[in-house]
Amino acid sequence: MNIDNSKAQMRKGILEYCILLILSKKPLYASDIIGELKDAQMIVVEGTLYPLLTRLKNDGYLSYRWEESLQGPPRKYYELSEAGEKFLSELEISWSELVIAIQQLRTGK
Amino acid sequence: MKKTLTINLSGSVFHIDDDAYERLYTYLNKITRHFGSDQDAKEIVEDIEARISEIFAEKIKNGVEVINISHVEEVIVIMGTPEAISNEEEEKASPTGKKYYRMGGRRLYRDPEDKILGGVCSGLGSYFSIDPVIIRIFFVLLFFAGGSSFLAYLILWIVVPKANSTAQRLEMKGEEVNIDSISKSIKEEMQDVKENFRNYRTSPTYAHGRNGINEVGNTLVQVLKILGTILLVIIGIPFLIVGAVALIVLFALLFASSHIFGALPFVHGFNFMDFLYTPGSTLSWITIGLALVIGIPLVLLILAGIKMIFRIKTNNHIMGSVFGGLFLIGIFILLFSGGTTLGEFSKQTTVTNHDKITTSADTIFLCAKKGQGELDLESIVDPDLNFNHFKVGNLDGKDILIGIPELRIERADDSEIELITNKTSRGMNIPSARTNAENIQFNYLRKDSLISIPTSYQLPKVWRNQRANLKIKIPVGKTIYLDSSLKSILTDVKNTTDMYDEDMVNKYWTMKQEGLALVNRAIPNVKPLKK
Repeated sequence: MNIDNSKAQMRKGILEYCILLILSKKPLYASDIIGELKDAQMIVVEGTLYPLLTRLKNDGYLSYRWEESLQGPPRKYYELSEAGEKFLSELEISWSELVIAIQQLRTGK
Repeated sequence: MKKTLTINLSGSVFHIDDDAYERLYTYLNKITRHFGSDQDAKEIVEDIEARISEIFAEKIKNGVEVINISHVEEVIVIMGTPEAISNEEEEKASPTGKKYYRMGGRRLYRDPEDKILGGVCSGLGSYFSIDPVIIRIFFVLLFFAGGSSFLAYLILWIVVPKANSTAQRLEMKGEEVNIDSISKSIKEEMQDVKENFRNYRTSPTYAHGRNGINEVGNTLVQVLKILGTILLVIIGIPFLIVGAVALIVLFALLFASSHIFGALPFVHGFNFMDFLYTPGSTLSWITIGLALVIGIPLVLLILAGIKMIFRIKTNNHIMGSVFGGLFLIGIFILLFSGGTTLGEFSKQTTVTNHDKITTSADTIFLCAKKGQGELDLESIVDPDLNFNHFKVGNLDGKDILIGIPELRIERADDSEIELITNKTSRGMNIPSARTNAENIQFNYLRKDSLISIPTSYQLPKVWRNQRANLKIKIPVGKTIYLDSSLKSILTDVKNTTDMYDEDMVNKYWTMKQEGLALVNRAIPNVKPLKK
């Protein structure tokens, strides 16, 4: 067991949740998502994000549309689908539960 | 000054240095291989390319004119190497990501969680749905029955990837591979093809030319993939079988003694290599060299076969370099030891011994020197292996070379009988050639008028094209008797009746000016001389 690995494992578990959370505010394209995740220190390498986005899209939680950009070629804007919203709210609940559970364990109550 | 290229990365045009292009190309290739070849993977790679393109565009905006290698390196750090990506990603392990392993069915992996050595047996067990213990017993039994399983184990250990991630473990234990599951997976793929067509017609991308072409391409790719899967197995099996058989034959020829493999019809036990080299020196080197130079392509053939049959995706560059390196080392060893061995044949010399005999007898009796308490060499000769001046025999389980001498009979210029023994050999230099020649044990015996000549002699352990022959000069007027035991060594004996050498035995001959002339006399009972 090394600490970096444990940290990475923890992050992995909630990465999906984070992506859905970011997209729940407004549709974004990949670079914006990456920017937010990087600011929050949630990912190390960007390459990790794309497989995750593709999978969430395939599972129907995300959809995307092409939007023209002023700076270059069209960009893929991702947004939450209805199923995604539902999925997110379930994740919210389970996150809150986790926070409570950890709090309980830490304070011993 | 550097050469630059113009590339189109995800719809944007960039100027890029030659070396930077190479680096980027390799990176994208690795990424593509990492994610596999299905449609999702394609999309992921496209996204990654789009992002790289964006990062480059940023650079251009900040005044960079040409993308150079440091820009590419920077991008790779940002995006992550395939290894870093696979460390971070978990999506394949998620139960919803079933597409990833449903497409592949069950795959062969080594199981790191249930291993004795490399986890090969447990992986095979998972693949074939057999208890790994049975496979282990099987491997151990085969090991004692000839050792081939050891080689097989090593090859599998090298070529089969370890099931590291959860997804790989799922693939390892995945759907059983049998006729049902194969037909199921083909049906599923056909379904995908149909869906793709439908999607293509209804999707909004239908109007979007570029994507539309992609869709058609994908459909074609999927049809080809089904055919490819079947074809790969059909090609892979002969690869595997041919490679394995050839490898076993090679090792048998190089290393094994004649007794294990002598029974096999296609492998003759005789190992000529043994006789070419001074024991313990070049032999081991040349064996290693040959094993490498012939063995490595065969191992690669086997690996290719296994990869095709079990559809293993590996991008193990280290293995390629190791095999390449070993192959080159093998070639060097062969060149070096081959040169040394050729050198051992560079000089030839002949040692001659003259022996004049005086006898009052009118008739000389010539017969073979045989059965004098020594070994009868010719009786152990292997009839299948007959070379020009020697034969191969088997003595106490070891191959030996048996030289066959030549016996010539000529007219003497004077009145004395002369026996001339010639022993010839090659060697690194004249003295060593002479030593080799002197080591030939070829000696006749004489008592009064009876001469016994060996019809064979054992060659020393190291073959240097040794030869021995005996020339007997008979004065005109003397008569000789040729015993039938000399039939095999009489060579080019001139006679007035123009008889073939092998017909000349059992007869008396008198030396005339123009050669031996047949004389009719009662056949005597000649007893060979004993030491």
